[in-house]
Amino acid sequence: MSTRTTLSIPNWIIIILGGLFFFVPLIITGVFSLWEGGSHYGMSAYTLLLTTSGFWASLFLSFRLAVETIILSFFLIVPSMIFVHLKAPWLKPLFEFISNLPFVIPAIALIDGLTTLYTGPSWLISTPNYLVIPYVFLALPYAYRSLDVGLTTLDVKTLTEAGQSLGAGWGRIIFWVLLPNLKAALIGATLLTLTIVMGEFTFASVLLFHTFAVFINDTGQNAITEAAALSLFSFLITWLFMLGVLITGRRNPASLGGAH
Amino acid sequence: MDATPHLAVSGVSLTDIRKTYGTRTVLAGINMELAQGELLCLLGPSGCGKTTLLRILAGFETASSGQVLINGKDVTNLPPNKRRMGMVFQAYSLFPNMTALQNVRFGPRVRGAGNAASQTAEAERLLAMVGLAAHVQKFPHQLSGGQQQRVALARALAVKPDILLLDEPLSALDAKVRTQLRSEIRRIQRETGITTVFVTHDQEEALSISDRVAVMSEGHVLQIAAPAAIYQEPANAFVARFIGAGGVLQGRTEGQGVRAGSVLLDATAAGALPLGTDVELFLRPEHVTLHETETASPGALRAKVDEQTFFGSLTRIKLGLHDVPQGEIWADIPSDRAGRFTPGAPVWASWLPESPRVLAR
Repeated sequence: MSTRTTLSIPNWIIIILGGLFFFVPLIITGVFSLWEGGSHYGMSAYTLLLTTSGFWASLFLSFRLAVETIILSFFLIVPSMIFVHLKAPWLKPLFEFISNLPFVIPAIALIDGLTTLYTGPSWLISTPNYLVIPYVFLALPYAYRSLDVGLTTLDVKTLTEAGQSLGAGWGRIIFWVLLPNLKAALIGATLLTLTIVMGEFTFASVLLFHTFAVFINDTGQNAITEAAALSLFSFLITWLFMLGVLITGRRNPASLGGAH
Repeated sequence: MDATPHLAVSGVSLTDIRKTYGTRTVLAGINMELAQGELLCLLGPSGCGKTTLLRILAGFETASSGQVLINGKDVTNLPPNKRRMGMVFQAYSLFPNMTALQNVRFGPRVRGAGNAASQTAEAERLLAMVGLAAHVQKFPHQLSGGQQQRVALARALAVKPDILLLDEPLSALDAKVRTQLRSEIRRIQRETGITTVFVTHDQEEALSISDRVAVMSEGHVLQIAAPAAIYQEPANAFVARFIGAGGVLQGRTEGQGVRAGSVLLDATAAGALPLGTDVELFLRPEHVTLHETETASPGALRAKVDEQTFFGSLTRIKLGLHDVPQGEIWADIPSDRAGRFTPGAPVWASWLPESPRVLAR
């Protein structure tokens, strides 16, 4: 039997005020993005935007970097976290500490450190691929949290031992048992990383790579209605990713319990 | 039930298994032989080392020293996935992303045993054997705890193991399901003839399901014998106290009895020990008879009813003793007679001289 929760009038007032606070600037930005001068309104900012050189290139570049960041992050974090949960739980506080570093290290200091540390081949150093290194670091807190929740929910030790007792090696345990049951956590980490990389400005700007966030900034300095349109477009992308996070988060994570 | 295992073909052989963590000794030289097809229960209180021993058998823990043989093959240093074993865990261990059928198929699939069709057919057969033919397509979260453990049992059997290891598989279940599943595990184990090691801290479970029981304490096996022998002839005071209920009285041997305080308690077994040996006399509650008057049983021990515990058909009565300084006695009587023995009432307790177990202190 389902129960419907009814909200009181003060609750509705708070929700309406919150909604106004959130939506009014967006609506005004939307209206402004349609302004064509005088009393003329139309889609010219949007059509111009889509045909502006650099829009698609910067969008695809950011997307590609996001995908590379996700792959590298998972490659590094997933095995490490499974190892910590299974074999070295005492290392968890250290992992927690490391995962929080991006919050306390200023971006500019991180860039300075990275450019000093990483002096690799030109395909890495001289190309936007270089950004993947700081992006992995930047996305670490979110990817870590998401995976940590997934692994904590799962009885990794018992599942691993059950797999071993049935003859499975590490590869099969990870790919057949653990990862499928971490699907929600992995999707959450993926979408959060994607959102962060798509919107990242500082690293790309300082290192002079023309990502989507840099493109938005540059456009904003020359054409303000296009900048408003871009902002909305960027918001839309972020919302879509966050919607993905919400939907996957709502699906129950793998559960070992049952109907008792 | 054949209490003596046929050791000519050994299913499992453990030789001097030791396990230490730093300075702490968890297993202190365990030696054990299991016949093929035997079901042995490792029974003991928490921390006695029974689960560690099972995990060494499974390969999840490495023994500090000693040797593990399964069907004559040395598996001491083999990783768990290279041993032919099936294991059912205390925690629900089904893979949540797989249906019951897929869970049972997992082992054969991993080991490449047969093709997909034969694996599926075998998985369906095993699920039918554990009474889950109608639930093959259900995911673990759609099954009850008891059903999940049945699937886990079918999954463990699907790899046709040399040895089946059960690590307190029933402890998370409610009492009724536990009793039911216990019987089914025994039936299936007999049908399949798989050598089985069952870890439990529940003595009733151990006594009812096993061919033999190994009672463990502080890393030692104190006694390994058939359930009836464990119950009736405990090897030492710990086993006597741990298995079943009973009264314990302390005293000294005196002929065919034990002198406790001013009373000489009848106990034929005392005659086997030298005169004046400090002993403990163990008396099962079902061996004690209660009388309302002294005249009903000359020589009976004077006592008073301290408390009553109702167990349905039986009521267990704890007796406070008048003339014995240390110890207590319990008596089981049919519940319909329990009304006569209200707390505080005087009673007289007697038993057959051959009933008590007498063990040197």
